[in-house]
Amino acid sequence: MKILKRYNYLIILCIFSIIFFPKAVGLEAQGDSEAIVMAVGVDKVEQDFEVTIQVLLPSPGNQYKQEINTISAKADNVAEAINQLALRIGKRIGIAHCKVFVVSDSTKDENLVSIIDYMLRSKINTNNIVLINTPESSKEFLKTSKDLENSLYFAVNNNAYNKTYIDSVFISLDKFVGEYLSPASCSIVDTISLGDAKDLGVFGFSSSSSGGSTSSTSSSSSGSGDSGGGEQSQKVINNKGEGCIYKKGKKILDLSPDQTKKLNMLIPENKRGYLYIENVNDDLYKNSTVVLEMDLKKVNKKLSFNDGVPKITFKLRLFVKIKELEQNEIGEKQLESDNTYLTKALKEKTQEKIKEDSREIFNLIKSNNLDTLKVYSSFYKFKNKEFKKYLKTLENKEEYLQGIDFDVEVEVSER
Amino acid sequence: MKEVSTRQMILILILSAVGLKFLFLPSIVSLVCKQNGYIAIFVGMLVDFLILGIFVYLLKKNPDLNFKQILEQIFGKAFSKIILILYALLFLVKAASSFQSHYLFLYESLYEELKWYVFTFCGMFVMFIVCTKRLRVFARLIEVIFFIVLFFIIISFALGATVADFSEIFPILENGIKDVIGIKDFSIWFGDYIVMVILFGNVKISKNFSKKVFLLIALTIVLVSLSYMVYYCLYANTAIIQKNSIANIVEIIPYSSDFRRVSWIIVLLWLFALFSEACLMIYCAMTCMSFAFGAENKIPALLISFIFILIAIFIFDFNIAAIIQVNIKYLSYFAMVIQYLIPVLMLIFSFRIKRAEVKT
Repeated sequence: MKILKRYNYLIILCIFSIIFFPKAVGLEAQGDSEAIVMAVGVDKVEQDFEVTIQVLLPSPGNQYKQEINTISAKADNVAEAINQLALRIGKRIGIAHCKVFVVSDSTKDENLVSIIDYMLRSKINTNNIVLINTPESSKEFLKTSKDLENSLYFAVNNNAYNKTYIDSVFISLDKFVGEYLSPASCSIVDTISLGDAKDLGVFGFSSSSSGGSTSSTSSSSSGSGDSGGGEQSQKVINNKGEGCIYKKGKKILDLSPDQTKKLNMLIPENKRGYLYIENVNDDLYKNSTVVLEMDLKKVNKKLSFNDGVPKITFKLRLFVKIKELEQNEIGEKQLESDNTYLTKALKEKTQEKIKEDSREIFNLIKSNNLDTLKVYSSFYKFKNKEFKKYLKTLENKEEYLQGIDFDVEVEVSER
Repeated sequence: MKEVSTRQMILILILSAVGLKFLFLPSIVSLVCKQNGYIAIFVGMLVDFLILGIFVYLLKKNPDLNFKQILEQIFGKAFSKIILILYALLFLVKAASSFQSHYLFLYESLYEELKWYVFTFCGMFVMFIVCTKRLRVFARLIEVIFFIVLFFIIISFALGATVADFSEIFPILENGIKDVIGIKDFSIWFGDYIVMVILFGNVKISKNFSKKVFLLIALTIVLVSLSYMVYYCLYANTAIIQKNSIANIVEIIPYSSDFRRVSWIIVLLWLFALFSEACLMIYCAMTCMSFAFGAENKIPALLISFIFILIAIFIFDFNIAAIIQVNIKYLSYFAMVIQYLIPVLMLIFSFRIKRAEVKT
């Protein structure tokens, strides 16, 4: 007992070593038993789900680029398809490093939450996984994006970096589920499509030439142009700033880049971007188009009830600076950087444009009954009793947006 | 001999109050209390605070008596024995719950390959070493790790607060008290200050003892409630799927990827905290068993504790859903009786005894 007391720490160390050492020595490398999935895509093919994964299969001696592969499997559900993929690869499918989840338009009639349910139940942080919608098939999308130069991760990481910009949409799986569970059950999801490199004027994407890869030519490549030149016709990721709106897990509406931008103007999280103000006329500007850079935007919602009718006023406060001026004649006055560029006319034009854009969005969400501006949540949180009374007056509570008055107030300040 | 200083006593109390509150509890409370979870936690901890008041009163009144002696003074020998056994049982349930949560947290956050028997064997071995030490050594151990753990908890919640949407707490108590009354089902996660059973007769009562204890515990209650508020504001509707709340909070913060990589430090430190709590519960159970059966040697009591934990592992197989269900359905009223009713009865009876003494 004395020896036990005297050398207790040594004894602990020995016991731990005895337990762990044989296991540690005999343990196979995690890379041998687990495939590292970088992205998952889901398509609906007839009655089945086709799951495509972009997977890193490490093999010694090869370059990083060559190790990214896309593999697909079809099954009744996502879990089964992933199980089939595991059988094919001969490894467990590890999704802890997954950064992108792509769903194609073929799944638009399915509840997206049930599609991503597999991911949510995995013991991974789904808050880091970006959700993307694509009009093409997810399979093609992931195949196209597997080359490093043409990488989806660049597009997505950029997107993540730019998630405060008004011309982009960024939503994680967690956020999507959170919004799905909210009373409005509406989410805006990023839509990224594929484009022809040649048409888009994107050159230098040569999947077969760079890195000496033998297996990385994307299936979407078409034509047989010279490598590295502008002759080659190849698909590339083309993020045009489009979006789409999901309601109750189903895709309801596609948004053009312009609509996405206008909608984002009313969302507090999107604080930065460029505003193009046309036909500005005053002492300083002569029929000019002024590009304003907005690097901060504050959105407050003022909620009120007039005779039981709810009214929501979006109070926007923009902090801008002039970024470019398009005018026939530019003199010293216009070039002077210290000049007070935010003239009354420019302010009014900016306010007018944003008000007009906002009205368009209010009509859009009202006509489609899509509460992407979290109107329900705002009233429910801050005008709970009155809003409940209002809801009681409605025949169809789902159409609560129809009776709500929308307004917008814009204040533009110099940065 | 008094083995624990006032400061060490307070740290033990805070550790037991915080222990399991940041693991699965925020997530499951959100299911019942929604965005009012932080108020429910505040109410629960406030009730505990009142119970602490009773214990502090009894401790100050009988500074040299241990828990068994105080119980015997109030309830007599036979009842005391029963009460001590009940206390030991509750501590064992809490220890088993803490031990299993510890494994699950380690398994899910850091080490997926970890086999339960390796964890159980190693964990119990270290527990054996820790729990056979004197209370003073145990208190020092807690003293050493406490501030590091506290620092990282505050850091993670403070950073979480920078990105939380605080409008998520509205509407506050939409349905009145109904929104928070559901917390009664989670009573097993409360009643933290019954760890005082090991402190009776062992604390060096310093100047301003009550003031220090109440102030620091009140601060803990406020901080825990605020942390819950941050948690609900961060996750809102998805709080229910964020089982490892403390670990996930650092992951959600959109800072650089370099920062995310330190999340393992928080996981690791939290594992220390959980392990200390499991040890603390076993220590309390051992003490109650030794008091009940008048045994000087604590080793048999320790072995009984280990057997109890092993049985719990075999029954529940680290199935957190099953553990939570049993705790809520079958043990919540048992916990309420032990944690709240007995201390209240102790207070009432001690007043009666005092009054009788005055009369005689």
